[in-house]
Amino acid sequence: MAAVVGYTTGVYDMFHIGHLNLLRNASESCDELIVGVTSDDLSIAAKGKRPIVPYDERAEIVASVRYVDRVVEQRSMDKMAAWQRLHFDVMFVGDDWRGTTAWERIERDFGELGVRIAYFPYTPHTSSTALRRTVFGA
Amino acid sequence: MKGCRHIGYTSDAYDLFGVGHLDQLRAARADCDFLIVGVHCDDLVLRTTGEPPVIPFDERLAIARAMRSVDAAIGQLSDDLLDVWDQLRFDRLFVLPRSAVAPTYAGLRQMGVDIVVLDPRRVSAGGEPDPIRAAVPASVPTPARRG
Repeated sequence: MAAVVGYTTGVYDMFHIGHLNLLRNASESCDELIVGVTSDDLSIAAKGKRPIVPYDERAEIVASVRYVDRVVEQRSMDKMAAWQRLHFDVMFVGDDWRGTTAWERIERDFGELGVRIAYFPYTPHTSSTALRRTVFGA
Repeated sequence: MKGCRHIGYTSDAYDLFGVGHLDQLRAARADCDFLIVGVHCDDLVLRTTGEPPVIPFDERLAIARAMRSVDAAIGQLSDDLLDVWDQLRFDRLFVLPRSAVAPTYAGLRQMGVDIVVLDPRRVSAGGEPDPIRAAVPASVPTPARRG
């Protein structure tokens, strides 16, 4: 049987234990893990804020994690366009997205291609937003 | 560890892990055959820097351990590297320029340990400021500690 290729995306700003746990869980559920690291421009467009750590450094840190086989730059939220380039078999998503309109649609579209969406519990205690608040007191 | 010619050791707080830390680990790993990383425990960080780390010890340890360049990671409780050496018997110690003249190095040299000073190019404490550190205001409020 062919190797299962997994895909997951994120900003991975101020790399922390929540990111690491997601990457480890994802790597345990596939043979090759590709990670899409969100570009600075897409982060600004989607979240309205520039990441504290610039793209090159965020990508370098994610690529240095032993669970990650390959890093690509995520320049668009269009997961289908990403699939056309990467042909992953399963996509890993934090379970805070489960049941949202956008992801229900993504699940349907990918279901037709035989691509599975796997939801993982996102470690609630540390998120970049919480870390920003701790570090900046804002 | 069989067949390892040089066992390297390097240590730091690895708080708010950034590319400076990554460079430090990669440079050290490139210059030995098995790299052990000592992550300073919270008390040691407080003692040596006067401030507690932003990220708690177990999380800093897990992140250092997950890096490809790291063969083993342990908690470092003491700032006496001879104590550490006594347990690990490394023969190459990688240090940052800021700590290149610590008194315990003489003792380590007597034990046959090479002291290697890392190139500070992107090392967090060296010339170029780390983006995370640069973004943090000089007086960081003590973060709320978890349990």
